[in-house]
Amino acid sequence: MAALKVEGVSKAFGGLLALAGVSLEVAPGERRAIIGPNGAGKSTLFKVIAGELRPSQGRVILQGREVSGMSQERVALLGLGRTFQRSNAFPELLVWENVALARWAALGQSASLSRCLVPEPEVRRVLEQVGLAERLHVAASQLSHGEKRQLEIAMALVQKPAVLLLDEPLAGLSGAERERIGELILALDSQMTVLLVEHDLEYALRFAQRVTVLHQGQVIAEGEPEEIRRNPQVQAVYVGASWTLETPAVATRGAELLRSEGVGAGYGAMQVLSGVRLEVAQGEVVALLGRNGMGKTTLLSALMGLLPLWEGEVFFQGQAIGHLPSHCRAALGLALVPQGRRMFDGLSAEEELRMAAWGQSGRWTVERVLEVFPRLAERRQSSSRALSGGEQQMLAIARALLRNPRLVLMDEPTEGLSPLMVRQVAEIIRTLKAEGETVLLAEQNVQMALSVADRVYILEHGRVVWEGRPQEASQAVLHRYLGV
Amino acid sequence: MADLLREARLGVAGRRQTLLRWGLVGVLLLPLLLGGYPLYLATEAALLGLAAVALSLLLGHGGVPSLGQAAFLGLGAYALGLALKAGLPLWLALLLAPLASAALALLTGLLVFRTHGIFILMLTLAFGQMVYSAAHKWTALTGGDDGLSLSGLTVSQVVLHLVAVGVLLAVVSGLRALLQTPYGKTLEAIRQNEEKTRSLGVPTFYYKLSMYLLTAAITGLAGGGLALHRGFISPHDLFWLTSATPMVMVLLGGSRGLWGAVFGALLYTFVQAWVSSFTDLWGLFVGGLLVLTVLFAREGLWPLLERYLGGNRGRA
Amino acid sequence: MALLFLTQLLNSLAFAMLLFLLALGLSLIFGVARVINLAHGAFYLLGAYLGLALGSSLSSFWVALGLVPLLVGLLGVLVERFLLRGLHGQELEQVLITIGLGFVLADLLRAFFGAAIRSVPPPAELAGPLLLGSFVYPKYPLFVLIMGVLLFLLVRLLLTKTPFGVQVRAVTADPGMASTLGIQPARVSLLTFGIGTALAGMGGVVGAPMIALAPGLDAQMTLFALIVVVIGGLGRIEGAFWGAILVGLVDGFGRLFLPQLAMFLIFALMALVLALRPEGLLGRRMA
Repeated sequence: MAALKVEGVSKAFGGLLALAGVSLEVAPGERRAIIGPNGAGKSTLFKVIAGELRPSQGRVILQGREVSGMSQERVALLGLGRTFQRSNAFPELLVWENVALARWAALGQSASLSRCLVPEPEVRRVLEQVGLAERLHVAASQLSHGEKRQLEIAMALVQKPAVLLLDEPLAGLSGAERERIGELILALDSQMTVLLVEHDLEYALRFAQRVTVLHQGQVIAEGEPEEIRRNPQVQAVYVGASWTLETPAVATRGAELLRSEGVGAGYGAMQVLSGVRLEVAQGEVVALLGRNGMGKTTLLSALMGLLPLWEGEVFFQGQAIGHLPSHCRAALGLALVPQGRRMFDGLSAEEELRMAAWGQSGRWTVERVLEVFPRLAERRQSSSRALSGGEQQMLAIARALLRNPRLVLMDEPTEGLSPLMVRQVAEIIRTLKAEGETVLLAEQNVQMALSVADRVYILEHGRVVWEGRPQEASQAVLHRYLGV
Repeated sequence: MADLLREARLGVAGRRQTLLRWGLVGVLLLPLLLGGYPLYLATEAALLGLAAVALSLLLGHGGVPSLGQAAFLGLGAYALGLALKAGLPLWLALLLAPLASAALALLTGLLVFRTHGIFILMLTLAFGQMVYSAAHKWTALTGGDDGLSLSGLTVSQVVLHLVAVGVLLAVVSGLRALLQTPYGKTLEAIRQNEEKTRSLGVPTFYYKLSMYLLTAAITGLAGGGLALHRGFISPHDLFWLTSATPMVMVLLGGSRGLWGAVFGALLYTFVQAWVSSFTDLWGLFVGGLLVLTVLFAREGLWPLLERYLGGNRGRA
Repeated sequence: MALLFLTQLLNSLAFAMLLFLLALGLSLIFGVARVINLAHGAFYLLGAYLGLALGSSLSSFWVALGLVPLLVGLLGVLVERFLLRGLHGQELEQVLITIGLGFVLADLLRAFFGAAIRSVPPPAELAGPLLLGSFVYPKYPLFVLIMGVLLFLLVRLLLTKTPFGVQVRAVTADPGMASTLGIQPARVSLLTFGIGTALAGMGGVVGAPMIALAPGLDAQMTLFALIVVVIGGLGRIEGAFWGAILVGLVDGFGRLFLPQLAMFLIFALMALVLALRPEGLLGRRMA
């Protein structure tokens, strides 16, 4: 009997199909890795399995028992353990209390009224196993990022689950902490079935006995790690189909426009970026590459002022702007085309354009923009949220241009777009470049980015690990992504 | 060595904390020697303190921002009053007060815990006002605006005070013990991270509901006590602004502390009485106090006091 | 019988327009500044008393109508700037501080104007009845009705056609993104708060001849405004308008046919909406 069976599961959010008929079967004690690029549906899959989301179609069968549609609480009690990507556990409770709580929940003793002031032996044992024996009486909020991960794993283990879902356990970790957690996971009880979602592909392939590859909500490949590594379809999905590299060479670099020195930033207690140093010169298109979760969006948000800087400084035309709020940076000439487009709920396309253009004068006017994007002219009265993905992307770019900016920050503009639209976006960027605009582009679609960029940076675990020209980038990128 | 020093410091702080708490108890019992108005106030403080302690549990440990506590307070009062009017013995009436409030909590809780945050605030407000309107309009039962008076009831002031303080202390210690059980810690966990708690297999809805029932029952008991104490119940006791009173007490005391709530109740009751003695504008003082506390002493005055005198922040 | 019905209908709608003024302000304040302003009724009362004082000292209702909202709005701006600015995102603290503010305002008004019930006569031009055949109806409530509808259309126009209006809507939807487009959410927040409280003040001036002034009115009006906003939907002016009409009608006809249950029913409706459809009957899902 399979430990976990997923049969034809689909999940739709409004018009967006996150999962489209996913099926897989995991044997008891198996180590399964689930990989795939950003937006593939991995997290959604975990949420459906755990009962956090109901599947629109299909079934989930845990140890021979159908659990589709059951609440998370029930599924957990039926033997499913889970760790979260960004969990704080219970920050005000002590480490041992966190684990004790998990244990009580599993034993159905959460409502017990007998006072409990010291950790039980079982709790101590699990905390030793994960390496937190020294930190029993520390409040969970005081733990380091890696220690919090250890705690999460301890909380999952103490429940003795039959099936354990690990959701990006290494995210945001580096160095010794990363190794420690990595080893801990590799050393888990071989009788426990473990499913792992990880963006660190080297690790995922090392951990797994079998690998399932998701892309746009579907399983595109499944097999042993080595097979997957060599599978051309999988490589294509990560690295993108081949494009012609027609990068016009920039003869002389223009004046420095943007520079970041030692920039660090994060969310909550999690540091995502550290020591980031990059430069963008006038007239360049600079691409920022890196897998999901490596810090691209965090960096662009920090540059724009949507996230505070934890360390370092950002210079725009020589002026330090790290302390300035977003609207001041916008006034100085920075514009953002955000990830996910971020259309304003309740505004029409035209209203968004006019609002962006208000008070601005320069090359880009509403009329000009509507010439360059005729689709928008047709759909100007529609509510901006009702536009298609591609149209929204046009609108987001147009919105930024109407600010007549000195530098355009573009965050994953091809996300969720069809191949045709992706080419159109590439065209637009080339057009902008021809007009003399400067663009800093964060992208998942490597080939597209390489076809428009003058220079490339690669971000990994919140640090810049490579810098150079696009022609040189291909080999380095492939190596980083798949170890090929 | 460092360990020893730490132990010693905790010991000193712990002792100072205990001292402060005994001081509080002392303040509660002192008026017995004075009698008259101070005693009356002290009993008010003890009873309102009971309601404040319940709110402190609900808000500080359960994370539920309720603006509808007046409903439980008033319902408890009316339940007692009507029971006595119907000729039932006092002990039964005192039992009915918390039961009535718990029943209301059960009914409304089913809807309240389907929402969260700001919506709970408004929903509890709405429910509170529903009970108010019922009390206001159902004149046949409640006497409407004229209120309900409990004439012909003689309970010795001293006895009432001792019982009130006794119940208060019993509830505070009981709740503190409760917070150290798996049940109590699960409640805390729900407040800190409900999603995580659910993913561990805990049916959080029932925990929140049971806590709501418990706090409603305690508040109802306080309401019954107040009815006995004042000898009079009016619908105004149920108006949403009255829900603000235990809120202010909890705020003054620091939302996490049960003892803090007792302190807040004492402070509020005596300050209100003192201010009312020379001006009609006590609303101004309460409002001002509320504004200043939120702006400058968000943690509450009791923790500040504890820290100032004890050096270490106490828990509950 | 039909005349009775018509009279009550007009009364309810006039009252509804008052509620609309209040609810509109509250809704805007929540949508943009993300604050539940439980002192809103106190601003209404302030406007009413100021209207009374200025109206008599300046002998003109109309000047008071123009001036009072500005004064109240100014107070609103000061409140947002100095009391609420630092509490962004902390809902309970905001609620508590506005409750406190409400207490303070209400008591100051009581100290200044006394606790006696004050009935305010409508201005001479609008006093007296209107005769339509055999139907007699006082002029003033009709004025309030018309004012309400005009204001609705005006604010709608403001929000859709003016740049400021679009900014308000943008900040309501996504303040972070709005700031990357050069809009200052803090400033928009401040101005909206001022406008919201100004509307409450205007409501007070306009409502005084209809509802007698007395201490405790502030708490009642806050409650009504809250009910309308909850039922109609937070952050949408259509919601405030139609929600106000619904509540006005239920209240008016409730008083007529089921006087004992009217208030109870209104709160029951509020509770149901909150529990089952928290974004209100017309509102949008809050982010």
